[in-house]
Amino acid sequence: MAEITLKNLSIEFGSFKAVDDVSLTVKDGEFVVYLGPSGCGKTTTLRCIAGLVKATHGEVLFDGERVNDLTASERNIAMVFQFVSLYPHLTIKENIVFPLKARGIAKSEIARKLDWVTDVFKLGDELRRYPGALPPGARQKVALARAVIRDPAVLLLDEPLSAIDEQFREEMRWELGHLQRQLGVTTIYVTHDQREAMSLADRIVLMNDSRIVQVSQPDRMFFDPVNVFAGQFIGSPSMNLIDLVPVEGGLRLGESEVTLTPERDRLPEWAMASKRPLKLGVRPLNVHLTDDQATGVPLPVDDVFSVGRERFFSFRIGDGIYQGVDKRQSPAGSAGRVHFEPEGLLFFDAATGRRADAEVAA
Amino acid sequence: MTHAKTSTIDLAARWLVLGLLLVYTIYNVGPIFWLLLSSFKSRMDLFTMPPKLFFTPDLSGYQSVFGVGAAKDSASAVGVFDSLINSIIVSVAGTSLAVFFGTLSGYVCSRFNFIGKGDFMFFVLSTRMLPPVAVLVFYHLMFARLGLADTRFGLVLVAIFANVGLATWIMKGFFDGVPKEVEQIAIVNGYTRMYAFTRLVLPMVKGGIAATAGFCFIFAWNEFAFASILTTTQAKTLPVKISAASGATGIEWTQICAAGVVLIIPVLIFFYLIRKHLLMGMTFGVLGRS
Repeated sequence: MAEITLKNLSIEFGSFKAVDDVSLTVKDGEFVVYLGPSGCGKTTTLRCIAGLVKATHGEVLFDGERVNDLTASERNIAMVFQFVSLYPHLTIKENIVFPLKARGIAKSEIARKLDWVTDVFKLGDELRRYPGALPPGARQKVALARAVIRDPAVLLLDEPLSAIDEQFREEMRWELGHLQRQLGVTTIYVTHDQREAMSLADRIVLMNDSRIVQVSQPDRMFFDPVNVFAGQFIGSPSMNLIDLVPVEGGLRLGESEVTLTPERDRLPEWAMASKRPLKLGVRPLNVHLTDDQATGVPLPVDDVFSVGRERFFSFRIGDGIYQGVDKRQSPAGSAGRVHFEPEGLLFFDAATGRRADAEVAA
Repeated sequence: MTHAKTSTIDLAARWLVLGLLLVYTIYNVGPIFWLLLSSFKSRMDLFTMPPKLFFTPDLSGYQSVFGVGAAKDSASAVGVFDSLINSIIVSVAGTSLAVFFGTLSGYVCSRFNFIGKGDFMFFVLSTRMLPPVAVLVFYHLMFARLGLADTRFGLVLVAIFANVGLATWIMKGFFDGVPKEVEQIAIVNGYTRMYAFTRLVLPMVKGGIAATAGFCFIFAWNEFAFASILTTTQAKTLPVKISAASGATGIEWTQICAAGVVLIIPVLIFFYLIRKHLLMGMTFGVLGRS
């Protein structure tokens, strides 16, 4: 186990900057999830930590020691990939002990370790079978067993669950989190699925366009996004983003006639004072339907619909359609007012996309 | 009503398909069957009109093909046994080496980037576009100079040249189907790339190797143009020998037919041996991803 530090890491392929000046410390035993859209540089970062890709600038440190020039096999890392990469012509047992065989470890030691992972991953019945006979989820479990059998300094997981059926994925996700805590191994996990990140991570590293956007705990990531990208990438359904135009007595919602006021919507003073265009970020779960004139604003409600037990409604501002959660079970087509919960309002600078309130607070 | 109607149409369609398959089968198997029959016929039976289905088998064709029995010293014997051996040596050696080199280069083309890779791949492919006739004369001159004319070694070289490009392309396709993580896991764990290639990747493309070998073997076995120009007496392969099988008493049809049957048998044996790998191989790994 080890502490992993990235210092001003940049990775370039020709003129393309895949990773641009990334710095981060992953604490010993921590579960860090790299999250971001495809092509944001998260997988490249992971592969650089593994030693499969060379850093162009900057350093990779394991427990304070520079490992840039060590090969993948010298770094004592273990990897699990998206596509299950078990060897189809080897049995499950042979697959699992594969990393130990390379280092000439004594047979008794191999047997002891095998017993241990078999026990942890509950693979006792599968050892003699071949990967082809196992469902994909179980194969990925074997790949994990193979990864941890040699006590790696760090466990690197590259979208390990995304090729597995939805149904089994939930179960594997739960099990994976449980195992990581049980083993206490430093883990770096790459995914584009924010739900995976939210449920597994000690800390999430959100990346976009080759750079780190935000590093924080999952709930902070959700409630306190640093910019529009972070706000919209995390959370499902995604955050509403509404233009705010400073007008006399409040902030007008986009092209509507509706104005949020300091009194009713508890707008912060700085927002009133700044007189610059802002964007309002508000998650659907903070937007409700109400009949109360005192808290609700008149906006045209398009539709009310159920997704399972949750009931959503959509409303319109100008050409934009936005979503809220209907808590009072209104019948479809009912009119009403829209209430924005003051504690759920996030303000972003319209020009830069950065959080405007945080800037003021800081 | 509707149900009965549909099933009538279904039935008709099924019979139609069966009928077409029957015609197709006769079209394919008919000549082989005829060849097989003719190879056991005496010269008299061979030319009887209408052709006889029942006759007294005459083994003289096979005897002369293998150079045994009464036909051994007969003036009409063409003696194709040596050319059968030539064919087997040339095809087996040519196929093995073409598949060997094709596997190596296919792996490189699948896994590594190098300058001019696209051009290289096209060049490799273009070796298959060339009509043999276009270069035959020059091969002949070259081989004559190098002392390769009329040698099995020369024909083995031709078989390699002709097949290695095809083998490279097919094998590249199969290697592309093997996730690169297969090697990465091994390398991360301290194995060499060579180990990963020979012990992990190669077993995963067994089917591909078998299919490639199949294609190369058919080509090498059937190859006629080069063999007919580049050989005179010593290294003649079976197809060449058959095409010119005339003895002291004219064209020996019975012997030709017997030799034709002999020509088919090794291909059958070869495909029987690799049949297990063939289904996966012929679908180019599409079914095999695990």
